[in-house]
Amino acid sequence: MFSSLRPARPGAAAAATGLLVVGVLAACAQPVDAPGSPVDGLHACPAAGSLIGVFTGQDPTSAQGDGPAVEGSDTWGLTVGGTARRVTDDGVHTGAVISPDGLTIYQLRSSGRLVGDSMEAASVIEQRDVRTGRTSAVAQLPAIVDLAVSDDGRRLAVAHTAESHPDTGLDVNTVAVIDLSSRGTPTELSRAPDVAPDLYSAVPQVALSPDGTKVAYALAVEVRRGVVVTTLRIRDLGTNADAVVYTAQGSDFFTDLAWSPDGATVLAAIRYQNAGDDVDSPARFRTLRVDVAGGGAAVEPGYAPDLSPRSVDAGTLIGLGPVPGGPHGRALVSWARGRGPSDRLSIGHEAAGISVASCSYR
Amino acid sequence: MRRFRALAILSALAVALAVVQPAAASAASVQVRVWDFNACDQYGRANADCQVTPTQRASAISSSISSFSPHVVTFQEMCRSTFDMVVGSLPAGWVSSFFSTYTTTDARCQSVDHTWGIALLARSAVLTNPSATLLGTETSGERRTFLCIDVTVTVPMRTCTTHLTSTSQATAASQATTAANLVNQWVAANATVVVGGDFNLNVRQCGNTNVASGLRPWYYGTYGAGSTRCYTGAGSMYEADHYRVGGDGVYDEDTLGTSKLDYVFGNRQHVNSDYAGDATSSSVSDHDPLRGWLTVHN
Repeated sequence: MFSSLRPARPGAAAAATGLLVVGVLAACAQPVDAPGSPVDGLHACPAAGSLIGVFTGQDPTSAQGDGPAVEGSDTWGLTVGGTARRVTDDGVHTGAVISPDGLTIYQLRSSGRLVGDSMEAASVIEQRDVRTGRTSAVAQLPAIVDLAVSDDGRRLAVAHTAESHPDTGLDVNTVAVIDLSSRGTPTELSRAPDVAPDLYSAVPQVALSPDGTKVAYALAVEVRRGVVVTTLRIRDLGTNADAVVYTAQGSDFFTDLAWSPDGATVLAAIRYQNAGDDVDSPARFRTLRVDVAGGGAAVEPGYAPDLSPRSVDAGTLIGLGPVPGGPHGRALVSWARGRGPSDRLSIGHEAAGISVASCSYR
Repeated sequence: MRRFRALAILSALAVALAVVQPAAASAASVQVRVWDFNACDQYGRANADCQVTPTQRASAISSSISSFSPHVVTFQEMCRSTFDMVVGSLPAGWVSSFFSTYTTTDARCQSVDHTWGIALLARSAVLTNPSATLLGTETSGERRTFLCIDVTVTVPMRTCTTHLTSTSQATAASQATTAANLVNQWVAANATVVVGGDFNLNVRQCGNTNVASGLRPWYYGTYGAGSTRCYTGAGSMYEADHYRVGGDGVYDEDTLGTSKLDYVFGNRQHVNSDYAGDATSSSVSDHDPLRGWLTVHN
């Protein structure tokens, strides 16, 4: 079940303001800036206050009248001190990224309508000024499932369904790129040349190169009924050249993508299963690093389905992963190449889609 | 040594028979294992607990079926593509039925087939008399449905599943009552009825008029909030994880967050009072699967 959402209640914003710092609790009784904390070493960004990142949190809200216990999806901020701060409280924001200077949040807004027991996919991209809270629409696109911002802050990319064909199932799922300086019509990527139009395909994840000239995206193709092949691709927006840089093994799939701020590495979180894993088995993750220039790929242990660089070369990552010992709830965790995970900071609710401003580690 | 080997072979045979055959308490009764699971086939939607592709979800479900070895399986929130993969992984001897309650307009099913809904599986040689009764229609067009089939798991039984509305508890209660009225017709005709489903009514919550009215026509005896039992039932059903004297001491386990929304029912006229239930856990859904053990007799 994904319970219904409702419009913001009168007084809810005020209540939320009074509870700004609620979310992140130390997993153990040590300061959040102690060595081993996932936010250790990050610093505040100039003019951005203490906010250094954003994620999307799910919170059950109290039942009202006849309604069941409802669950809303909102933008939350991550502070340099490792606490969480609710940014929106209307329960209809399904994804967010933060600009590299930490001054702007780009977030996805859904109608909140229930379709097949889940909230309708977002159709509006909003821009929110971190300092003033002023929010305006950037673009409207149908059925958005993922959002990325380039590290020069000039472009956004969204994975979305451009055309829905529930009759044939042959939807057109693609990536749209938005130039924030011109605010013109979003540019839609053409179908990958090696994917036949009579095959079902979907684009669940997207990332932009730091200069916004290339897009990394995940493409799932149902090559025959019941068999889906997932690839990681890079599309050059200048030439439209499309290159497969990694093919997921078996039933593995990409749960998140990122591009290192130095431009050298595309990163992916991979969810995989061991033989015999059942529904009670824990979620398992790997981290994929693709050398953009050389094309080499390295698969390493992973700790979260969502990741964001927290160093310029993305040698260190921060993610939102499962709470150890329990299938539900999320915790912040960081990990460096070749090293194990940090301590985890538990978040008191479901959360996904971490995005950390590069100004906090530059 | 030879005697030991013979004993080992006999033991292995006994285990194998237990796996492939329902545990027969007598010629006319059988312990039926029921597995109910809201699969949350919502990949790509805004629910962090459900971010698993249908392929991985199907594989995990197949493994769970293999390990728990249920005789009856009831699913909600499942893509047809996931259902097909699960059914395709099962050995011979299973029957199944899928009912599409909604045709998705998003990429959750990762397939050209966008149908999504509820399903029943049973280890049975026969499947007859399928019925899908409309309980209500959401504004999105999703059809809340009570899906039933007749199967034989040693004992002939009518087995059903449903996923009631999540938008209004009063409406969920009304839908539950409509479904109970159907069940009661079969109970009156001396049928064995086994139902697994997501009712979207939280029986752990006392003092809720919708829980009281919606589940009252289902439960036999007092029910609600584990051993507290704050409601009085007027129905004929035992719920697998319902309080009982001599039970395991853990009742009405939560199946979604802190709520129990998922149920496995069997009518007391054909189910012994030694029923048991257990909500386990899941990394592929926001719901926990519910295991039920019902000793069913003719």
